[in-house]
Formats: sequence, structure tokens, C-alpha cells
Amino acid sequence: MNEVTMPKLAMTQEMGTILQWYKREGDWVEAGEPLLEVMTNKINIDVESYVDGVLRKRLYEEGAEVPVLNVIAYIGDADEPLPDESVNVAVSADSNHPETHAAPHLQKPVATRVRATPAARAVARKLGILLTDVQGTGPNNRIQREDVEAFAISRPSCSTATPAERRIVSRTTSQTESSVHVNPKDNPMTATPLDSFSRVPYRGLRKMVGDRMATSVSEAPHVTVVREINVSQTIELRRRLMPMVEEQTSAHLSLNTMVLFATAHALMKHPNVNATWASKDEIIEHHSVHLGMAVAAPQGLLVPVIHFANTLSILALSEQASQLVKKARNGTMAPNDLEGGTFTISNLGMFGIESFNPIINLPQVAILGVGSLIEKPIVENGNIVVRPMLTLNLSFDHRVLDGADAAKFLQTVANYLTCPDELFVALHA
Amino acid sequence: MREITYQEAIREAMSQVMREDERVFILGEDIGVYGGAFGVTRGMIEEFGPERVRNTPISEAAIAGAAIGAALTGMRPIMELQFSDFVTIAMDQLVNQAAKIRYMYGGKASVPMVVRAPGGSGTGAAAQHSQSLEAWLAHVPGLKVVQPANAYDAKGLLKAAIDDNNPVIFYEHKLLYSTKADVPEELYSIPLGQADIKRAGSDVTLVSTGIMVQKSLTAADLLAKDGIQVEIIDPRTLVPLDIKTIVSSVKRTGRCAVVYEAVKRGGYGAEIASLVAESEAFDFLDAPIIRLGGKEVPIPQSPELERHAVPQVEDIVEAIRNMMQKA
Repeated sequence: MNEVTMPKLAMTQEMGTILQWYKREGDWVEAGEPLLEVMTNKINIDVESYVDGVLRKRLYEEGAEVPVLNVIAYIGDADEPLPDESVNVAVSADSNHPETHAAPHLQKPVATRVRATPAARAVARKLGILLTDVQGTGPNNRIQREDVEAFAISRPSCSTATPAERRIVSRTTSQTESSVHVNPKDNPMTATPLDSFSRVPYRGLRKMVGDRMATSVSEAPHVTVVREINVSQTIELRRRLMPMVEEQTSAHLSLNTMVLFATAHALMKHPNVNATWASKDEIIEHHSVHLGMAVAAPQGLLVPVIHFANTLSILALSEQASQLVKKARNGTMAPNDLEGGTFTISNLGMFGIESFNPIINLPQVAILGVGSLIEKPIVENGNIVVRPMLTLNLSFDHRVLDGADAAKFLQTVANYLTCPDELFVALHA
Repeated sequence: MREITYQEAIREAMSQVMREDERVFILGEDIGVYGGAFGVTRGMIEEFGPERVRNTPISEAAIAGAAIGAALTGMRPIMELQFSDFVTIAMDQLVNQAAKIRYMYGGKASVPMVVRAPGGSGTGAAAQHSQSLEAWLAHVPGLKVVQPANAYDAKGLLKAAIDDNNPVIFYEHKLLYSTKADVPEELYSIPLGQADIKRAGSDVTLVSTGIMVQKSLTAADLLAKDGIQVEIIDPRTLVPLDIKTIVSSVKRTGRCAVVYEAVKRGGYGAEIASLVAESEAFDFLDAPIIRLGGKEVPIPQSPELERHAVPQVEDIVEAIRNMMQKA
């Protein structure tokens, strides 16, 4: 009898949700044939069978959330006896009771055994590290304390997970939403003739983003510093660069790209802002900028990451940014596209929002919120003139940064955008 | 301070106590003019006379029985076994009488006696004269078991053993008799149940007693050249055992090896390893606890085979290297 397990597709993945089974119990399955569709915290993926055989038992229903590496089905010969434990956790294929979702808890994790020393386990517990993520260097690849400590230092910032990004299939949502109509006859006191509402489940990407936001707000003391800047020179520069960029790429050079570019270089000057929490008592200051961009994708908030943004020309940055946005909107992100961010920019300018307080994308320590470009009367050399103004909102984690740190960083960004010439000086620094 | 041998330290402890305390006497086979199988009691009959240095018939059961009887009536006998292997003949007296009487009489009687037992291999004395059966005795509640590793410890521990109101099995290692150490001339006592850190180190805790302490120290010097710092804990007494010192060392090093000459299977080192695994040091273990013990064979007479039957310095070095090794 062959076990089918919930795949572990990313370092940080702990659970996977079964979206749909392609095969019924008793169906013949070929090796390589899709068996079911699984939603992880990053992507949806088809799980293929590794073997030929009959799908003997499905242990979980569609919609069930299962710990990674847990057995979810058995494939074998038609008359092979099923392992005993499958009987206990088995969820009848045609039952549709929500209680069946509790079934996974009855099952002992099967394949999560890791060879690790007690000391390694103790350290991992303390640092909140999953041993399945750690490579053991001891005899028999046993994980030793040193391995966990090395992992703790080197783990990518994403390992505490970038937010967001759970792609949810609209089908799932629509299936689980249910409308309730209250008939006034049931309640004669009701004033309105017909009251109705919809129950929307809090789950999937919505829950993931929501929970992360709640955690960030409750954990990180947020302070937002705001600065309104005159970006006429940047707009002028953009106007001159635009034809060049368009000639060489299909991408359109947006003001947002200019902001990304300026921010990436400002972060290089302020490594304390380009930082992530490694553990409760350690911060990593990154020497490269991996810039996350909050994207309102149809399925929810995603934060694709432009890796090594500090090394990219404005051309490359523009192209990468537009590709990532496209991928996010099409739902074709690869897990890597969402991992490893060291700083995030959220732009609500297109919605006419002038200023807002963004929530930090933990484990990062700051986030830049960009408002819309608005022409405003300002005073320049004693005269009232009209200038294109942009509001920058920097929320920072006051555990890691102080107001002055954040203000200095924002000042650098502001300088680069008010006088982009400085950016070229910075490039050579 | 002067240097004397392990053998001299034992003789000195007995003699000094006997000068102070008339209740103390020694008995055993050929311990008089001949001075005992290893010459430990040589010269004592001249000083203390045949009343207090008593030659006995060749019957360890009788020697033990006589010692227990004397102890019960207020004496503090020290009996000598020519070879610790012969404890098997004295076993009924020791296990069923000496160990039990204090408990069975509700503390109204006690058996303050010492069994001196030369043990271990390395002299070509073969299967019946080279064993290390200390685990047999350590298993029995009511008996204390001591295994001194050097002349200093031997004198102080023997004094404590004689002063103890319970039967104490005092294991002397034949190969240690001629080893020397600084030993104070005056009498002193080393409490039973107090381990000694024979060498401080940070990488591995090596627990050993008796002759294995010497071998461990030599191995530790070699390992230090590879940058491996071995901490050597000598519990000195198996019962009572100072597990606290061992556990606190393992908590620091994260690794524990136990070396003993006795047959590995069922040896006392297994008890130490188990206690460590059960202790709060568990969460600090960064490698499996290992035991090095004797092979599961009677000790061969051939010197070369005899060498291979028990852990040697190179075995300790290799085992610790493996323990520290990366995959």
C-alpha cells in the first residue's frame, strides 16, 4: 500500500488545503496523473501520483486543511488490506458534515519524524524553528544544535512568512459562502420587510492576510512618519526617460517605479531599515534590498518581491515590477516570487488616497506607504506656486527603529525624489 | 608533599586508622608475613601482630562471614580478597547478610566493614583473575562500591570507607598499585558520593573510574591536539553516585561518553548513561550517549588478546572523534 502525503512545497508551509480530488475511491491512477489539487500558503498545485494503482482511500474531504507530510490517501491493489489507522481518520467521501474537518487532529503525523538531537530540538523550540527546515550535518544527517543555530542565523526573512499570498480559487469561495434570508414572518417585530445578509467565511488568503495584520499590529509598536514632497524633478526626469525605457522594453515607466528605485537605493544607505526579525532577540540587517510591492490581486493582497532591487537598473526594475504585478494578477506567482522581502512599498495612489498608515509586513521592520500625486499650491521663495506633491508614509517598528532613524531614512527617500540627481551620486557610492 | 604509590597509600590509610582505632583489623588470605597477593599489607603484621592482621583459610565465604560477625559485634573489619573475582564465593554473605542486616533490624544493627578487592585485567592473570564485577555489587541495595583512580583518592576514600557504618566494597585496580601521586602524610577523608573533575573541558563529558581515568586522561591529551576538549568526571564511588556533577557537566558539553573496563553489557556505565538520559541534561544532549566497555568474552590470558578485550586509549580517542565528527 502506498501512502499519498500532503506535499511540503515551501520551507514555511505547515498546512495544505485540499481543494479538490480528481479521483474517486476505487479509481485507477497512473503514475504522474493528477490526483488532487492542493492549496498551500503560496500557490495551488496539482499533486500527482507517484505510482500506478487503485486509489483505495481518501482520508480527507475537499476543503480539509491537513498538516504537511501527513498521509492523505492510500494507493494500492484493489484487494490489498488498508492500514488500520486509515479507518479511524477516514472521512467518508460522501459525507459533507463540517465536523469531518476535525478528523485530521485524530491522526498522528506520519512522516514528520526528523532525526535531531535533544539539544537541537530544545534550541529549535526556543527559536520557533521547524526542524523539517533544517539540514542536519551530524552522523546520519542528524540535526545537531549547531545546525539549528546556523539555520537561525541564515534563515531567509521569509521563513516567518511573507504575508498574504494564499491564492484562493473563486470556486472555493463561492461554494462556502452561503446566503441567509430572514423571513419577516419569523420575526414580526422586524421593521423592514425583508432583511438579508451573506455569511462570508474568514479563511484562505483573507484569513492569512488578516491574521498577519492583527499579529503585526499587536506585536510591533507602530509609528508612522509622514512627509509631503515636491516631485516635479522626478516627474521631469521620468518624462525624459520614458521614451528610452519604452523603446527597450514593453514596460511603461511609472512614477511608482521611480519611487521603487529611489527607495531601493535609500535602503542601501540605511541598513537598519532594510532589516528583518531573525528571532525574538535578533535582527538581521540585510546587505541587499529585496523589495516587496503590495499588489491588490483579484484574490486578495499579495506582496511579490523584487529580489536584489538595489542592483537593478531602472529599466530592469521597471520590467520586473510590471512582470510581477502581471503574475500576481494572473495568479501565476511562484513561491520564490513572494519570499525573502526585506522592505515593502504599498501604493494606494491610484485610488486617490493621499495619506494612510500602512501596517508593517513582519518580520520586516518598516513599510512605505505612497499616496497619490496631487497638484497643490505651495510656497516657494515667497510665492504661491502649483507643484506635483506626493505624500510618503513610513510606518516603522519602534522596537527596532527610533523616530530619528525612520525620519533620516525618509529624508533620504525624499531627497532622492525631490532631487533625483542625488540618486546618481548615490549609485556610485 | 611526597609521592607514594597507590599500594602504599592503601597500606598507609589502613595502618594510620589502625593506630587510632583498636576496633579496626584486617583479615584475608596470606596477608601476614607474605603481605597479601599484591603485597599491600606487607609489614603490617610486624607492626600490628597476628591478632589484628589475621591470616584466614582459603574460603572467601568464611572470611566474609567472619567479617560480618565481627562488624555486628562492634569491630570494624577490613577483609582482603586476593582477587576481586573471588567475591562470587563471598556473595551470599555480602548480598544476603551484610547488605540486609541493617535494614532487617530496623537500624539497630549495622555492618561497618570494608571488602578490599583487587580487580581488573592487564596482568595476564586470565579469565578467573581479571574481572570487573563491580556492577553485581552496585546492584544490591545496602552495599557501597568505591573505585579509586589514584593514590590520593585511594587513601582518602579508604579512610571514608572504614568510617562508614555500612559494608563498602573497595575496588583496587591491579595496574594502579604501582602508580604514584602526591599523597598527604596525615589521614584525610574523601566523602563517598563526591565526584572529582579530573580534567575540565567543554566538548564532551567522559565519565570513568579506576584505571579508565588514567586511560581517559591520556586520550584527552591526544584529543586536545585535535581541538577536542574532553571533561573527565571520576565519580570515584559508584554507590553512592554523584550524578549531579555528571549531569551538570553534560549540560555544559552536550555530549556524554562512559568508559568502563567491565563487560559493556549490563555494566555500571549503562546505569550512568541511563541516569544521564533521564536527567535534565537530556535536552542538552547533542549526540547519543555512548558507552565503551569490555568485550563480551572472558578475559583472555594472551596479553595481546587481553588488551583487545577492554577499552584502551586508542578506543577512547576513536570513539570521541566519531562522536564529534560531522557527517
